[in-house]
Amino acid sequence: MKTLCEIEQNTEYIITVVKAEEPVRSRLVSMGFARGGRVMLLKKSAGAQTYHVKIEDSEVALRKEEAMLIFVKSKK
Amino acid sequence: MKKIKVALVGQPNVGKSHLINSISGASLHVGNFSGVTVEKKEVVFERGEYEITIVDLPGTYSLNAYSPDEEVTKKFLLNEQYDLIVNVLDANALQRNLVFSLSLMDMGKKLILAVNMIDEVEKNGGSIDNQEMSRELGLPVVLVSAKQKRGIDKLVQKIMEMYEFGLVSNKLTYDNNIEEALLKPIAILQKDEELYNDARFIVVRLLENDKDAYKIVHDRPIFLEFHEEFSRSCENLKVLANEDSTSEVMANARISMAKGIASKNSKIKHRDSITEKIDNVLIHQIFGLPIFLLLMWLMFQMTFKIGALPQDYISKSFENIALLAKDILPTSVVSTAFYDGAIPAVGTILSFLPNILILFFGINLLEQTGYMARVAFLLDGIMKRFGLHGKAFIPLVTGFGCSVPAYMAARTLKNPKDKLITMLIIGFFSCSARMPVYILFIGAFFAPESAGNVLFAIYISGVVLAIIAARVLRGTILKGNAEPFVMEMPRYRWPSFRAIFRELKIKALVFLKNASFFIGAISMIIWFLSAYPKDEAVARLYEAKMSATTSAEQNSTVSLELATKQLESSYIGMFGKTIEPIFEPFGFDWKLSVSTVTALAAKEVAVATLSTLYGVQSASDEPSKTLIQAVRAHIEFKSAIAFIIIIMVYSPCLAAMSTFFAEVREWKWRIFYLIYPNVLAWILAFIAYKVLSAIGF
Repeated sequence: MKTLCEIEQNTEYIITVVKAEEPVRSRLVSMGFARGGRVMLLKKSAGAQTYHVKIEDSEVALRKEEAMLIFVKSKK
Repeated sequence: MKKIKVALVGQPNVGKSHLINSISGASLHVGNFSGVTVEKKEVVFERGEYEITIVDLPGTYSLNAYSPDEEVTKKFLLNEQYDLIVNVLDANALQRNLVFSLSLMDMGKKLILAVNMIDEVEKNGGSIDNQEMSRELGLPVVLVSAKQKRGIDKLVQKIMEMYEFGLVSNKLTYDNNIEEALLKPIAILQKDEELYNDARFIVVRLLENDKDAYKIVHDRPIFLEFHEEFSRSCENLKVLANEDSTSEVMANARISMAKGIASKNSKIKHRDSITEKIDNVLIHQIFGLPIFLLLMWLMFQMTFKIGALPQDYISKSFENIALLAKDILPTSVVSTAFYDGAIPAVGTILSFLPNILILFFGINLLEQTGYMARVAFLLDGIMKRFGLHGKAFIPLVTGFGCSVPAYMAARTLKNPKDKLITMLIIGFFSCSARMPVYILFIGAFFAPESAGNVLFAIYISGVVLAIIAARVLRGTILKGNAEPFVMEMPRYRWPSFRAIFRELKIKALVFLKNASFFIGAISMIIWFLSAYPKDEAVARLYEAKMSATTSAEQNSTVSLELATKQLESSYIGMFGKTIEPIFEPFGFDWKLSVSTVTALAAKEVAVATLSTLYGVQSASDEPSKTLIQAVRAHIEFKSAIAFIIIIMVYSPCLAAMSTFFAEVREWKWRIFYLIYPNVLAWILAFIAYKVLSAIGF
């Protein structure tokens, strides 16, 4: 299982589990980061500290710390 | 007249404020990023026999309030009286927005969905079937575009219909496992008459671990019975759905319902190709930051260069007005204060209006295009290293305009420590009112070619100071980790120049009003204080000296000497002499010292004060002498730099300070806020002065 930090850019993955604690968890869920969500890494900021991802029908920026809590599997 | 109260809710940046502006012709501030509206605002308008009040609530992603501004929305929805809810959705992100709509449906209130930005979806070849959606959800769904003013009348029509005839929608049925779990707890709550109507909503919220819902049931007599049954239902539900928590079950249920509704009733192309192309450049991993710095540099160059064009014209006009007033008005103390004190000061301040408007134009453009969120993304890594939340960038940049809205914008930060650190450094982001001081001093001491660069350097060093201060605060008195950062990236939108110009007009009018009344009044007071008391003994002495002079040259020297002596013995002169020791280490004369203090009322007042105090001296000397020349003649370069540093760093104006007090309740932080910028300003000015002296300035 890979985390959002380790996936290839511009490839769609499926979220398997979100390991965040409350209240960050519900914030991530309300943004669409929940099991089964389709996610794609678009860009990393300088130093790869912040990630720009597409989650379902929206685009979101999140920090490495949060991205590490989101686990994904490849779409196949 | 029938009164309808509408609560306007939705996720952040779906265009709620914009929609209100389109419906009612109001001019609420809008921007293309989340968190522009941080407090509720009401707009009232009339349509036929109805008086409709729309309450614009801060955007929220869910009913689990995460940040203080989201808390405002939740509190309003749950506790206040209103007739119906209009839920605004972003058509581009229909699915995510629908998840929130579904949780609103649980509330059992009259609800209308307004799907905004439909024009963008259609432009990309997409479509949304609102009729079918409406049938499926059992509530009105209106397609609107606040930008094109499309569907607005229909929405207002639906609001009136819903008010008169609408029924509360309760078509929302979850899957069997959830409905089963809801059944018995609801039945128990309904035994309590007060909870009868809200029973379903309360149990749903409890499944989502809502503490507020827990508080409601906790104090009821049926609590014990309810609690037992509810716990049993929860355990069953978790086992059946194979999840760790019931909130997870609810979230997944809503997400899959929203997915179903969105995919069945809409065709939406999600990745906007223009946004993608622009992002490839603007948030490039390597070039993103340099491009941002270049854009900021350009903005300050423009602020200085284009702003300077009408400057002379404005100053000259006011000189003429002063001369005219001198001719027309009868000579009296008040009229002298008016044309010698108020008019020149107001004129000086107004000559900086073009600079300020250009700066505001730049900030507005940043907000409206969606670039603001990108900059937050670019800078987040750096911000994190210095202990700041990525979203803090938004209140901080707002601080370039004015600290008052900046302090309020800090409400989007959830964690109190993040909020406090941000608020304590906002002052180092030089506000537009400080621009007149900078431009005056840059104009006096630097060549015109480098002026724009110096201005840019002043603003950048303010930013650098701010992040260092943040690091120190985070490492010492406000220890703790920075909060998580999850922020929506809006698509780029072409700015509405009409909206920008409307905001600039408002800004200009406020500035004009402020300059003419507030600055005018203060300048008159300063003039009085600088003209009185008249020292009769000195006057008599100089009268004798004057009659003894033989040449015109001698005469003017003596009269200048008299003016200086009289100014020194005036009230303001006495005050200046008293505080002079504080500023003496940087070589300030008492006039510059006084300006430093009067600028606490508002930063432009520093310029107004200098204009009055140096004007008094030059009036008897050479009336055409400009303030720039007077500043250059009376102030040393190293003192000027020290003055700029003090204006950059010390306490902001009274209005900003009272906003800080309104936002921060603890006295220890209020006192800290009043002291530390001033101590820091003094130390930095002292160092700069000493270093400049040492290298021979």
